[in-house]
Amino acid sequence: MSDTTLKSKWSKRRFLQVAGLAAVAIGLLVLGVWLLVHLRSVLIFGVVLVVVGVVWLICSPFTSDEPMRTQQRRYLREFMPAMLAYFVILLSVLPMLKHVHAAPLKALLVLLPVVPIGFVMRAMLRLLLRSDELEQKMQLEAISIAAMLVTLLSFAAAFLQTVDLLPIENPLMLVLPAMFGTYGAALAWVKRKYRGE
Amino acid sequence: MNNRLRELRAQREWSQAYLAELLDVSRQTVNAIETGKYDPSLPLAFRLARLFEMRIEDLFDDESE
Repeated sequence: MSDTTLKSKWSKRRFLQVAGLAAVAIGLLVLGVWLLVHLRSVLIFGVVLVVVGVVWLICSPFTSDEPMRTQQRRYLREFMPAMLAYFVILLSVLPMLKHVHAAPLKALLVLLPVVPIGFVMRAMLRLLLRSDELEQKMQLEAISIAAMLVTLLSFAAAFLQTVDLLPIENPLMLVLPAMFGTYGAALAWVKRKYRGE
Repeated sequence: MNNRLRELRAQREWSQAYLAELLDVSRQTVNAIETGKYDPSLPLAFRLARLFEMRIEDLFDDESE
């Protein structure tokens, strides 16, 4: 028996390197298009792609060089198109809002970006359910830490808002990114606990 | 809980990654079991015992006994 079957598969590091380069290349292409059309949403999309690509390239040496498991590759196949759809829908919808006055249509447009985020969450849930028992335990610990931390901060923010001392216009918008961010950080911390010598 | 996983894996010249693939778990899970950072569930312990063709009590040792 050998490990040869493992060597042909993609690792997280290789994925981040290839995806990072692709994101930077597409981002630069989009910025080139912006020079021709001068649309703000095109500029934001290009900048986001370049920044995401650079972050992935910087992070890639610190990620695992082991082959990704089937469920991780399937997660990426589900997660990446959903995130791309989110940015495309978000940046297409925002410029339209100024020109739409009918409340039902405005509500429909503004809720459209929630649909791909629903698919992102579906991908995350499917990864969680397909993970092995230790991964599920680590994810449960990370989600618990993130939920408690974000709930506590939301609660504090709500108190500050009641006395008009919260300098954020729409604090609810921050709950989801705060959950994702603290979950990621908590998972990295929890993983260290189970790492052997 | 102590176990003989590392020793048995070394005898067969298997890498942690290969054993992880056989068990359909992550390499980190195999590593955590080997180093005693994580005690596997009964179903996973049975899968390990079957793979190494031995009884669970010959693979795992409850140090409190």
